[in-house]
Amino acid sequence: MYKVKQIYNENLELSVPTCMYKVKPACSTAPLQTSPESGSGTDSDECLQALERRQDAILERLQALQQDVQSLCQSVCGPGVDEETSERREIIHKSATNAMEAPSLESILGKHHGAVWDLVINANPASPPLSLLVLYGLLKKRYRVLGNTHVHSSVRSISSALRSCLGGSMGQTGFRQEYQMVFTLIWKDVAHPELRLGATVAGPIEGEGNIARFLFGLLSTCSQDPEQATIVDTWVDRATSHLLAGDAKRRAAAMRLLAEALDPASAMTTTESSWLVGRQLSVADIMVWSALVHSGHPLPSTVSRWVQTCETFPEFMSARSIFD
Amino acid sequence: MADVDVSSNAQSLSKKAAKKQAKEAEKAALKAEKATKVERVAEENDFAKESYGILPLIQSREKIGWSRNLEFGSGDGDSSPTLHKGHYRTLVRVSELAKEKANKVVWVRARLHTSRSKGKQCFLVLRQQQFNVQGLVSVSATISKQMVKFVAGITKESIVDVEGVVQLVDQKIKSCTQQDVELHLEKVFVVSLASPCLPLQLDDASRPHQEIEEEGRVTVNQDTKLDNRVIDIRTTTNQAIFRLQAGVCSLFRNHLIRNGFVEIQTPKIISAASEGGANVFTVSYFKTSAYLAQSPQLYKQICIAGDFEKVFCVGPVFRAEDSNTHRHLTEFVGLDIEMVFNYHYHEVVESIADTLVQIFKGLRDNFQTEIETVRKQYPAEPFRFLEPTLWLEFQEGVAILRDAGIEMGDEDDLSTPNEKLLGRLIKEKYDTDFYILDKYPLAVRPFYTMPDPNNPRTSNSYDMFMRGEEILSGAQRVHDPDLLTERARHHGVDLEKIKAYIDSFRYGAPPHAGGGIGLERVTMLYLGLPNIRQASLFPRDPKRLTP
Repeated sequence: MYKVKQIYNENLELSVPTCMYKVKPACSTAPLQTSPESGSGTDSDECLQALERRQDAILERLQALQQDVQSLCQSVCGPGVDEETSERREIIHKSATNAMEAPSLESILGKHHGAVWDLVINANPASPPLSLLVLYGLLKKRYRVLGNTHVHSSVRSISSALRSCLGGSMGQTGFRQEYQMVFTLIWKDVAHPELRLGATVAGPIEGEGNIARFLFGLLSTCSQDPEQATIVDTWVDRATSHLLAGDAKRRAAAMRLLAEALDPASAMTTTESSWLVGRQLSVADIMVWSALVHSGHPLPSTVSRWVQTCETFPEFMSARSIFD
Repeated sequence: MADVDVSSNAQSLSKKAAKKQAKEAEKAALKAEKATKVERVAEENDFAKESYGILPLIQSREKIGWSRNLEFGSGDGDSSPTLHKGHYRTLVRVSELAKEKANKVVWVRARLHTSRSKGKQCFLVLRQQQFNVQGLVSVSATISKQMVKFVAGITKESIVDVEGVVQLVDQKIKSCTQQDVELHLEKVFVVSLASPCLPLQLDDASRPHQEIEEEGRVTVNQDTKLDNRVIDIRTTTNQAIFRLQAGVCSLFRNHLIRNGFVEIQTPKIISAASEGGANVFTVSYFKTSAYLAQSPQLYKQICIAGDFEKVFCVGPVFRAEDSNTHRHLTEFVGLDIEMVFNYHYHEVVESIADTLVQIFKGLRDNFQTEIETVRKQYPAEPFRFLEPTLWLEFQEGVAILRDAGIEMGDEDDLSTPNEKLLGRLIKEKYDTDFYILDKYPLAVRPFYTMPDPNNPRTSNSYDMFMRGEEILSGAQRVHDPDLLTERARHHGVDLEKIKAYIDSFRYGAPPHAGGGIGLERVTMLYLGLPNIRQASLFPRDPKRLTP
């Protein structure tokens, strides 16, 4: 550092008016190194140092306590605790807790402040989205999910099967906080099913296929390779546009493709699984099944056999019973 | 200097006075001329003198077309009406004037809404409650010029008896409710003449806000409307609002009676303030003073402890709050419910929510015309709700607000702007205007609220909201006298004043809960009206005591 010459003399004598009063300086003007000449200075400096040492010790103890509490939180509460550091740690160390195979709910659904995540789905009772009911069943196996059904005021009357399709009654709400997620299904007069995540997310997710993909994403245990993922996507699109909403020609074409894909003897199936794509249940299976049940058209034998195999699973069975 | 000014002022004053006198003299001369003209016209032959005029005051001088025998049929056993002394006449309702009555001669009693004369014709609109029909008087062989003039001169809002022929029209009359027909009048009598200067015009009072802004038309101040309520409630909008309000009351009653509730009447003059002491009206009661009841809370609970199990009461509630807001009145009608439950207060919450949902459904299904009529003047979104009702916990509401950026403590009560914001957020997510918020913090509730056994900082209390504004505040009540005493002491309530209240629980009291809603507030929020005074026939607020 360089020294600058003093601009003004610091020992200036000021003529202070007599109406002012003098106050002792709160901080000492003497240099900080203790000089053996001023006895009082040593005492005050020593007090200061002792104070500083005490402060450091307390801060260290606080740090240690904070670390303890955090690790306790981790082990007791699992993911989703309202702590920034734990979230970061979770994403970095992927093997922290048991829900780690799926991406944590927090990373998909967003940070929350102590509220339970609520997935709000609006659907038209005239065409109930069966795939979403199947996915609800699958979600229940994986997470603690509370299911609620509501009827919106735009719908005048509704069958009792649809009214209680998720099995939840009003009285369960006292324990909303104990669930990881709430699945709210509202029967409303809408054109397409839509999923609302929250006020901070822009706009709803529309379309049964898109909602099914999202919900399946909450369940997925392993990431699929791009090829499989695209095949799954294609089937989901085919299910909504061709099988459900398409005219007879498109439907017939899609049905033919489906029959081929499911035919154990055809060249398209390389594995021996009963699922549409790959060895495991994928969202394609669920969507295609839902579209077939909805359309109610006569099915070729391979396809109908496949539909029956699906329905041996409890989630498919309960969704089917609601539709009938 | 001042003197000169005064004198010159005096001079100019006298000049002004002179000018004024001259003008008045001119006016008087013109008037005299007109009067003579009118007399001349009247002197011409008036052949329709019997068909119009002002009726003498109806003091029940004669029975026209009505007799008790008419209801039970004549003596021979047939039910045809018998003719009586005088003439036979039934008055037809304006709402019944339709194609079916074409070419029939009918008598109608209605109000003269407007009249417009054009030379030999006079068009008028006759109004009866929500319905109106066009009428026409034109000079003809049976109708004289003087009659048309008389009809054109009848003041607005007068009640008239008219006889006329129902005629079909080629083009629908868009401005009336009876669009297919018009009445060609042959006789017009005034039953009750209205004073010529009305304090407000009905058309102005029922003009929608948008029209006022767009076309720069006249509007009527709310104070003027409330000061002249007798005319204001004649507008179709107000007729619709109060019919809907009557519907709310009757749906409330019918639903509860169907579910085994008993209606009770509670006293409104009480000796001790029930809710808190600050906002009560005092009345002089012989040698002492008494208070006007802030809520029927105490008496509902005594009835519960008196084994009525499920009670409700409909009656006035008096709150001396000096708040001049759009949603506070000093006197309003409270619809209160109290009921016992077996093991959990949620049984009561479900019941109350169900009652409200049934009211909304009843309004949606049976009062659609009224809702549409109100929407013409006060446009608002239709009211949406879910069944079963959306039921969130207070903590979740706080979390939703925190997500949106509001900072609040865990035990803070929701302020009005926060309540409105929460309402909007919930509407955005669930598309419902009605929801329940449960488990409020204990610190912000009155002393008789039962604390939550699992969490000493929360209570078994709940609020229900419509369009983001609170309509019901309820809770499980403390039914143990010792706990009640402790809670009262904690809140610093004077135990002497509530001794009678605590004593009512000493002789075995069942667990119970309840809540109360305000009729005017529910009407206002259901229809989306901007001010609660529009939902009260004769509102009372800190600045208004009449009419």
